[in-house]
Amino acid sequence: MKNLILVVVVLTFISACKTPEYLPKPEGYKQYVKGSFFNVNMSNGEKYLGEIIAVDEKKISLLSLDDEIIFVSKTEIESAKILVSMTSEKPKAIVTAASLINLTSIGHGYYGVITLPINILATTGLAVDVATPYSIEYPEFIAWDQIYKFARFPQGVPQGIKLNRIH
Amino acid sequence: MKKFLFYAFLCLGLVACLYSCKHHLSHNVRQSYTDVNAVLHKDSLHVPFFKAHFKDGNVAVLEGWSLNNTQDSVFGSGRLYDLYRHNIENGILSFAIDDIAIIETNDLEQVKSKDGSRVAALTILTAVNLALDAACALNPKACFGSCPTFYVDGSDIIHGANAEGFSNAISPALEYGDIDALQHSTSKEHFQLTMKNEAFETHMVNQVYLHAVLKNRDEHAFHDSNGNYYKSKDIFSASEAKADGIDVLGDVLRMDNNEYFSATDSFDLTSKEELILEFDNLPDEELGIVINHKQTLLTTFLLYSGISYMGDEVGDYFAKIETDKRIKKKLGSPFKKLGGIKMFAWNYKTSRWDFIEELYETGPIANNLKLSPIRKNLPRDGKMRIKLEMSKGLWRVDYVGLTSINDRIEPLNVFPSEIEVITGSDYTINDIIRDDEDYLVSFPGDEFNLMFDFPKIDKNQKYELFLSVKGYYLEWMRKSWLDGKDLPRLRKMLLHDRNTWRELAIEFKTMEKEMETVFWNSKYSVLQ
Repeated sequence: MKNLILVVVVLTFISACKTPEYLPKPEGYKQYVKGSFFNVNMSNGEKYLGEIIAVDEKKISLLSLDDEIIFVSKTEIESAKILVSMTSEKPKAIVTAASLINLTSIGHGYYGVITLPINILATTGLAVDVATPYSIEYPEFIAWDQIYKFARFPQGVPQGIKLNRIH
Repeated sequence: MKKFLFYAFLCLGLVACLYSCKHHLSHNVRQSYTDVNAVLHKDSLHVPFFKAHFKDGNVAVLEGWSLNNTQDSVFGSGRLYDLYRHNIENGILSFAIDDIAIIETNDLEQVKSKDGSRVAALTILTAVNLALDAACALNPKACFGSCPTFYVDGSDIIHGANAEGFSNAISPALEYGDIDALQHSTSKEHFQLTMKNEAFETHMVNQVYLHAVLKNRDEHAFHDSNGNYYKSKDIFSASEAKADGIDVLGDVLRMDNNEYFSATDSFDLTSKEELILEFDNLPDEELGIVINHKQTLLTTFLLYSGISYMGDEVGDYFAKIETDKRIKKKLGSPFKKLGGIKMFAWNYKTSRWDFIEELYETGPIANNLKLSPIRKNLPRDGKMRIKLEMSKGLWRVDYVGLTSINDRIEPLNVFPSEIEVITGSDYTINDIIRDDEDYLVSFPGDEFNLMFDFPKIDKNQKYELFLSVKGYYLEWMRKSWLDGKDLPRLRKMLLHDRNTWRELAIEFKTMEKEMETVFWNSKYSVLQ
């Protein structure tokens, strides 16, 4: 019974590993025409996530998942990641299959004491891996003047377009 | 204990490997060029596709591009998006180079799916988790295997399964949907279909629904390989049927599971046989061949042989199916060499056989009832001669007849209205009514009742039912299979090496007669 409860808890936990569904899947990357996402930690402890709309010398404009424009100043960024695409075509199917493998430990009897935690470790690792996108870390692996390449408007916001109208 | 230590280290190794992967990219995955004119004219853009960002905020994805004669415009096939990234134009697009602000290229090799390694890990995890039964140990390649089996009206006899789904889809990349006639009609407003997992496999069921063809009670309904549905009133059975000169009419005269089948050639699994049928008293109109058939256990034997040759590298091979198109093609149709059932009609004018169609559907459990329209040939003096050509010992033919094919009809698509979980995890209909990322995952012994609701119909009408199922399955590695690892032999098998196939024919011959008994007695429920 303990095993069963543990497995249910693990299934719930693994299922909660959220895949970044706002990102394109690898197959769809070729036709993806929006900006990459910017996940930023500010020096004041705040965190922001949004699509990169445009970048200039001093700031980056992001469109949040709630369709709000956020301006992030270059000097206030502590660290950030450009999230380029998902690494899985079928994240949900793989996570489901991984989480269900834990159920097989129920049938292992005495050895389930050993196999269950190992299964949990392995399948949790798999679920985390599926949820991890392709990314580029700033400032370690990309300079500020290269980030524009990943914006929706790498040429800058077109003249006459108000940022608050972008969605 | 040694086994468990090995298992522990293997799994921990997997975890370590997965955690160490952070999927970093180089920023060079994307390149931008602002000197558009120079880049396009100097032909320095050695890429088949690129994105053009325009000064007004629009963007186009172009493939197979080139410049016009005056060198001031670029054109190619592609899609154009506005600044909100709504798709506003598709097809052949042309743009003035001066309107382009930036050209963007992407290195797609860097953003490939990592699912291949994950499926490999899942396969290994599944394999090491399972200790299997003794019943299959003596003859492991005869163990029961099937895709989801479907039963009408709660039937529990495996030989009476009305359908089996996606038999060729042995990995996620090979997922596909197929349609099977349930060989059942109903006039009721509610209908129940039972879906079971009776094999040592994990079934990933993406979508299930019914095609319902409305017909009068005295009519029949059939479907062909191209997804067309037909109604007909009359079915004409053969007056004579001979296989290599021997009378087999009694085997193909009725749909009664009394089937015609032969033994394989001892040395050549591709050796062919002919079944020739004569028909009399036919109307002078366009006809179609009605055939009820399924495979013998030959393809099951070959699939298991292939997997056992992979041994402990089965995960690597299944990973390659996900990522390598050539491997996917090879393993996606491993039995192409054996061929399907080729059908011919005798042309009385030219005195030659006219080819009609080649039917192929994997699976030894449920019969497939199909119709093949005969487009070119009409009966002559009420007579018609039909020939089936197939590999010896590969097919079981339950019935061959002819029918008129006057009425083509559109079926009604009916999705499940409810799922009753008999055994298995708690799924809802949302998991199986759409072709999306939601799957119903079914393990050995799992059973689900699917309920369907139909519109009310007249008393003299019925719905003929056809099942559409999409998904894939993962074969559980049998412990005894691991001992059969032979990668050179696997390669030779896939490359159709004559000696390897001769040896497979000899091996199959040694178990051909007893395989049926072992197969049906080794299904999951029998072993519990």
